[in-house]
Amino acid sequence: MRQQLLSDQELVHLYLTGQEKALAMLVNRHKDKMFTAVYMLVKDRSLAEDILQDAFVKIVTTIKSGKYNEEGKFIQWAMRIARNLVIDHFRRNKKMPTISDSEGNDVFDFINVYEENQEDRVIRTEREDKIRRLIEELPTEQREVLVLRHYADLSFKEISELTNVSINTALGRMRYALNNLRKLIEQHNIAF
Amino acid sequence: MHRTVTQHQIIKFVYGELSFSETATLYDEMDNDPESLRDLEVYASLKLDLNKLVLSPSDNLLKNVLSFSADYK
Repeated sequence: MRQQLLSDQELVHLYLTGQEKALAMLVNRHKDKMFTAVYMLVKDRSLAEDILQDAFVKIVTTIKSGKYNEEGKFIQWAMRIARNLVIDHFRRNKKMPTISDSEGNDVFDFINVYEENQEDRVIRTEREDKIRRLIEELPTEQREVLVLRHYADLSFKEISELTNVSINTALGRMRYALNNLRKLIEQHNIAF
Repeated sequence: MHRTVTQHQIIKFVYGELSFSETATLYDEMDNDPESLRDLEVYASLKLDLNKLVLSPSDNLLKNVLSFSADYK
């Protein structure tokens, strides 16, 4: 199967005809983006993996039961499922994500390191660690919009619907998030 | 020179959410709005920095999902 030539929609159709390989392609295509988004929301590697797995289980059952609605992009639908599971988790635990200083460095043990030498790996890991820490310094509402827009690839309209705010409020939070990131980078004199 | 382009418009542009006509208008207005051009550079640069963070789940994720799918009736 020529993975790069097939759209998500085509892969869903192939999967519906019984080609399990199409599902593997869909998962491989979107797992990193979805995992990064979920991890940046829950800030716990193990929990993020569980949520992502639950999201894909829901995706499988929805598609196989013929309930998948083809309107819109697959990734946006998939991210909506993952994001709702994140919300469910915080509701169950009766707390919303906070801007705690949890370290969670071990998440980087799971970054793909193929075709990378030790020095490259160290440099990349340090760079990613800096970015992750900067994002975690943002207030929750700003961090959520930034993660949903940048890593989950949801539009500002979709974010506004998901978070029950106007598009302008979502855009305003993104603006504050980006401006605050810029200030933090200047304050800490960080170069990537 | 005064500011004619909002930061919201610039952010939507950087994230590909402006229509063709809105983008054309933005280009025209930015010709006379150096402050907005600077903002555009900053936001575009931040977007590139944010792209450098990509985390991956463990290999078990794919195995578990495929296993669930194969068993699902």
